[in-house]
Amino acid sequence: MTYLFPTLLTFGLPLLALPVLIHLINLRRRQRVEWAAMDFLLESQKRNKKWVVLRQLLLLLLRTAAIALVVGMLASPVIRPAWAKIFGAGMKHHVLLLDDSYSMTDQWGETSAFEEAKKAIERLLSQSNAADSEQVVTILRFSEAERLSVGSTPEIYQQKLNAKLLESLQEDFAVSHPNESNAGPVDALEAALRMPETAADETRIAYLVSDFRKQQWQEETQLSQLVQRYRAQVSHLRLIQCVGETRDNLAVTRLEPESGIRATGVETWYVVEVANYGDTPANEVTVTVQADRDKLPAIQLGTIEAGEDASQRFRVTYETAGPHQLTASLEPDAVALDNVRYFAAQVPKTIPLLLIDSSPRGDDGYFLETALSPGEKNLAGWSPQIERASFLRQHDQLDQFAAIFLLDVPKLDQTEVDVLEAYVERGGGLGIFLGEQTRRQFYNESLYRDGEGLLPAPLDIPTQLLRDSDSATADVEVSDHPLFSIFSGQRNSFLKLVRVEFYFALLPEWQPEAAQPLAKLRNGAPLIMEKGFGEGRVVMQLCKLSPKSTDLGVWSNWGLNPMFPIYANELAGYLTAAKRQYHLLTSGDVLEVVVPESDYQGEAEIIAPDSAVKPTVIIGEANEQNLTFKSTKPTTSGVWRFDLQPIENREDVAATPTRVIAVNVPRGEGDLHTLQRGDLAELLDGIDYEFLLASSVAEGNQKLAGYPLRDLLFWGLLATLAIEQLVAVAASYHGRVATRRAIA
Amino acid sequence: MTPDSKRFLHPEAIRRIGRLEIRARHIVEGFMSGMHRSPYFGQSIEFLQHRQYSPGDDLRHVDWKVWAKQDKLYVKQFEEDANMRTTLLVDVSKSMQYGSGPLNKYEYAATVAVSLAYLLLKQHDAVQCLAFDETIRARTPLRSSNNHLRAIVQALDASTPENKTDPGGIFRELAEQSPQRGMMVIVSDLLGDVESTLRGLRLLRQRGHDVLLLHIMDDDELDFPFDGPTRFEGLELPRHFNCNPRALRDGYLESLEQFLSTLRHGCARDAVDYLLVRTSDPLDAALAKFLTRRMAAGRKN
Repeated sequence: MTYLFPTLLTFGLPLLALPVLIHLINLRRRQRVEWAAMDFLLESQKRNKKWVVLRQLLLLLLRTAAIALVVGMLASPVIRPAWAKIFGAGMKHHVLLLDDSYSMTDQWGETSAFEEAKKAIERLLSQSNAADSEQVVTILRFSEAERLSVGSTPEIYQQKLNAKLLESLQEDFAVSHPNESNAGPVDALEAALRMPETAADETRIAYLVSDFRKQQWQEETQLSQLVQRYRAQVSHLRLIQCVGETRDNLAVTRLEPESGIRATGVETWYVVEVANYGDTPANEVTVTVQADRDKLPAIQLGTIEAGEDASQRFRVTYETAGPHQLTASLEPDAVALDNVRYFAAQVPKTIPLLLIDSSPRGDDGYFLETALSPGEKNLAGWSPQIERASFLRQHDQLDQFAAIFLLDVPKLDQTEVDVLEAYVERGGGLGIFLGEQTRRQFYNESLYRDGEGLLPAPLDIPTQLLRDSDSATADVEVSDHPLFSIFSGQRNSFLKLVRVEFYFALLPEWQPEAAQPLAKLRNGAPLIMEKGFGEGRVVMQLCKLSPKSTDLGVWSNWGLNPMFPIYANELAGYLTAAKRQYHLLTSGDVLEVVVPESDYQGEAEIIAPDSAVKPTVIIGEANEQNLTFKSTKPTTSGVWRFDLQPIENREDVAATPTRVIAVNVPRGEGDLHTLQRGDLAELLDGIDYEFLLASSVAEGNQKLAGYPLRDLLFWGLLATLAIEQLVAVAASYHGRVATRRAIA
Repeated sequence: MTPDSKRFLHPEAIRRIGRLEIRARHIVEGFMSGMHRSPYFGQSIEFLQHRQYSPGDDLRHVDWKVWAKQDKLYVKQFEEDANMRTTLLVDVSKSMQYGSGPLNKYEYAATVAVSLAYLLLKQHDAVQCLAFDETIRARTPLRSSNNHLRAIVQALDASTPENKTDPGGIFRELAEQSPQRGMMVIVSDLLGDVESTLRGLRLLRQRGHDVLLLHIMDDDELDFPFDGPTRFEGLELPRHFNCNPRALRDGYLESLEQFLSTLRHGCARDAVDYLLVRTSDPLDAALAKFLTRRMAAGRKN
């Protein structure tokens, strides 16, 4: 028999003398009574002396035994059974798969799921260390599992279990926190499966220490198969649940511009979204928003029902160009990490647009340019540049434009088509306005290309929209697409004034698939269509932009309508949004900044959100006239800053030597619904495992080490105390005295 | 009321029991004048006043001299006779010194005795008081005058519980010394040889005395509420021993019950009026209970 805590015996055994000591002290403290009725007392003593002494001795014995049992119980004796092969012979290998995803930050009281996990592991290894056999430990964190390739091993791999390792682990755990990733058990189990197979003399005991989040375990269908496969590799599998109950949690799940970043001085609409992962409605949810260092008015989201989310738009106007950041935060709750969401972007002074205008007198370009950039102050933030179609061949310059518009372009050569397609595929926006110059054969063959090209739909001949003088129906009917959301309500009355005389009909045999009509004519024919292409977008208007008369006549008065400048701005915003001007990264992602090699020096500094972390100097990789700077360490949530070094004589880039990138924790990890014993039993039906709560992990481990006597001693203690009480009652040492009249 | 008498004579208790009267259960010499015709007719008669004759009045009380002078019938009225002899026997042994309440047993017993003496003297009965332990420590003469109360109080006040008690011996001695029948009121804890005590009581009864026994016990003695290691030192016996009283409680109460039972049976057998009184009982309640029982017994007879 061994003791898990033998030191307690040293301190505890002297306590056995306590009842005798108390008895002796009481003898010294006895009260003195001058008594008249001594005869009766002497008679009673004479009659009961033997029994009294016997009972007193029995009580003394029972009380001493009770103390001995308590001491024994705390010292935790363990009998090593002959059948306990686990600890009896060979090497024991404890493989601990530790969940360190950010849901493990789930906090209650003074502890958290991760703290419970660490404590459980410490207890488990401390007790295992008490065993005589050779034991080794491997700890595989969920967050490091993904990057573990075949053959590579975790940081703590097959390290010999001894006091030194325990000490080192305790030091490591003291500063160890959950990762911000949403790493799940799949990667961890796959990494564990890649570990070398169990040796002949090895007994491998695996522990999966996690919060067993319901969403993750129930969504990952292959999990039970993975567990089953892994179970076949190990001698024992223990699932250690670190969370007892599900707590409510709110998370900011979205913070980004509704339709791309606008230029300085122009309102940018943002959307903030909050999810309620709890089981009860969240009332009066308020989001605090901070733009750079300025606190914006708080956003009230009202009540969010359990399991639902709520979003709201708000606008921010940046007065200066350059890096800006936005932070949305909630009140503290169970998980702190998902209460904050960051957004960061470079805000341009103006956003360049390329207008390829082929209209005979440049009318289309004039109307669009006027709509996008009226006056000298450039209030809309666009800087349109009108060029001929040949400009498209300068493909190295196209990426500086946020969107390209083709205005009544008759045709393009193949190089120009290729450049344009590549541009849109990379995320650029393309606006196409047709007109009398448009050669539909070229458009259908080169741009539509049986649905493979940029054009949303194949064109038929220009068609006149027949007018019905009696009809009050407007010529144009818009959908509820975001492009037209600004026209909703009373303001769409101006749309009734739009008159369309001619439009390009679509080939009748064409069936809409990828392209969506955003606006239709009175007769149901599409007027504006959209198509996604690669990462970019294409919006086509089947009618000429300019309201001026052509050989065919006036196509429409749309360009003269008061709503047209608004539409043009929305369209530019929509198309430029497709080519994102900001990064949406999650924790752990690699940060990357690409700048022209000609403008910047090859060295940059990365400054982490945590001011305690020292800035890192990185060397950019030169690639195709660009310099690519990449972060070298896993990123955490917050706004990261790249301090670049512009080449001195390049004044145009010297104003923006800083790039900002926001990193956020992944969504969904804040859903704290967990699987408990019953749920896991259902999910892992047929798999032999043992489920333990982190708080009771020591008991589970004792069973591995041998037959624990603690329970037995506990019951023995209860029995002893019960007998002691009975004897004490029998010896009249219980019950209140003198509360009743013995003799009336 | 003198300052001395205040120690044992509680005005409140006296006021409550003042309306009651002492009645001996058996007719003894000179007893019950006023209620019954006395066998010693004409003794101790003091004239009080005349009253006009009304039919039914005893003709022996008609004042013929007045009739002769005035030709009207008047009867003479006399003060009630004081012809009951009562001896109050108060235990002053050391065991009476025990007390857990405001009064120890001796103080309680003395108070009872003085209260009774007051009542008896008030109705002009002759009262004598004896304080005893092994021997008679103090004795007052048998008198019926009102100022005799002072002598009784002084006798009890001067007595200090010091020695062992022997009630049996004292009762026998008293039986020999008191040839005239009377009422014996014994106030004691009777801690001693119970058989000897009962023999003494029987002798008193055989001598024709009406014996009333007020058994005074402290609550502690009856309930034995002690807890924790205790050293008991005998008040009368030169013995002590250490014990855990809770372990001995049942045995003690059993012995006590046996003692009380023997005493009750013995008293009942010899027609001795027995009343167990706790020192925690209110004095007036104890006296009232005692007198009520006496009256009830008198009516039966």
